[in-house]
Amino acid sequence: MQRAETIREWQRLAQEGLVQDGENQVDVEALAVLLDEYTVEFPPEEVLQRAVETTLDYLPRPESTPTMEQLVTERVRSPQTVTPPTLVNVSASLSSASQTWWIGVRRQIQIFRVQTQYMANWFWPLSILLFACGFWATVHHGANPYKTMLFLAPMPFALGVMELMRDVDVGMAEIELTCRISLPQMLMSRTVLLGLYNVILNAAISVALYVAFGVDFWRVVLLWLVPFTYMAAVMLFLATKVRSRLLAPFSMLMWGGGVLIALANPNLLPQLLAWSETWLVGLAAMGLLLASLQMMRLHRMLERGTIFETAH
Amino acid sequence: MELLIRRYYKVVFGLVYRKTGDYHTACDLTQEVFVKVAQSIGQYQTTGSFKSWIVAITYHHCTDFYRSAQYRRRQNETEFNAEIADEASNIYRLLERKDERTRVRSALMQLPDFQRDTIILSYYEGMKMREIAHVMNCSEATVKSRLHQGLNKLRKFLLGGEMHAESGNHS
Repeated sequence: MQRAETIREWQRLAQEGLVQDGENQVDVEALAVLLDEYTVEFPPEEVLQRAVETTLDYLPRPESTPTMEQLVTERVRSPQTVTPPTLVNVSASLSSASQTWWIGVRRQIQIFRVQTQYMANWFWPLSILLFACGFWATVHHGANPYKTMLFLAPMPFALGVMELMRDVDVGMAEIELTCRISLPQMLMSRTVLLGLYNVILNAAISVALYVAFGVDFWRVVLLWLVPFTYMAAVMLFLATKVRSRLLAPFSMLMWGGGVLIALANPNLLPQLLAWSETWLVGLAAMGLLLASLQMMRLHRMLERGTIFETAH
Repeated sequence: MELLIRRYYKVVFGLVYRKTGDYHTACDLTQEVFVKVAQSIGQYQTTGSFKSWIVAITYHHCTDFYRSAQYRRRQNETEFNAEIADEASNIYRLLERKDERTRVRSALMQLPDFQRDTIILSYYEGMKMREIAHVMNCSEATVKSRLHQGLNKLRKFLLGGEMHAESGNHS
């Protein structure tokens, strides 16, 4: 809520109250001027720093799934202590390693679920709409299915990067969440979520095109996998360098425009389709490596807090 | 967590300071509020505004403080100190009264808790009636009523007194 809006609400109520008493409305403004005089004398930095240090002592430790070695060590060291829920006995826990794994998966799903709430509502349906339009154009206007795939492949990720950095720029949601999960953990989860969503959409349209046109399924998959991984790497790099809301639309425009212009050359697409699958797999693997490196770089920046410093 | 404390320190401190009117008490209570926030962070629902949540914790913590033995002990100390205060401090207090800031603080401190809190949350913290009602566990109509009553009293303390003083000076 805007401060000005609040003051208007307060002034309206105050005026109503004073008017009811038959007083002059000027009183409200005079009262506001007087209330503004009551400034706060904030404590110096060392008091704030002490507050930070004291509070950190009371912060619950982040939940972590104990490793099997930790469970065994703990059991051997204090066999009489109350066993944690995952440690009914060592043999049982050793046999239920899958249960521990399942707890980790459930926790990650929970983090993903929370992250979906923090992404803008328009992002999910807009990405689907983009793919639906692509499919519709291919079916009803005779667009080349391979061209459609190349055009659409990295779009949701490019669009999503805007959402990835939005809260860092706005500066709040991450801080709120850092209490439950760390900022790097949160943004990494969001990036993986974006990637997964993009992969699901690409896979869905690949299947749809395969069913509708009988295209070479694996070639289509490789054709979207290559631009998707490279675009993901580039977008993650740019997201840490460029702080502008225009980054996503600009990147989408560049990619879309670039693909359309390049493929206007009738010889290019047949040449691309003639590339061997091994070559395409190699390119995709290289793209995946680059994207992973960018994710690791982003993770390091988040851990050091440099990304937050550049945002503010 | 450090970023969170740094971001909200002024909000919490400002609220506590204006509610208690005492710098040292505000420092102590602000620290306690952040400890409480750290301990109960797991209960925060991501659907609501974080500021509202932290303000609610601050408000309830201050309310608990006023009910505590610690507060009664501090009050007794204050009363005792006031009794032994010398003439010099009385003069100082008289001079201090001229300070607008102190005058507003004194006027606010004369209001009943619930009216003072409503004014602080509404005016200084910029919260909506609905949010204040949520924090104070009452209806919006009650919040409006408290705000009206509080402001009218405040006007009488501050503006009424001023007008009276001016007319006194003229005579």
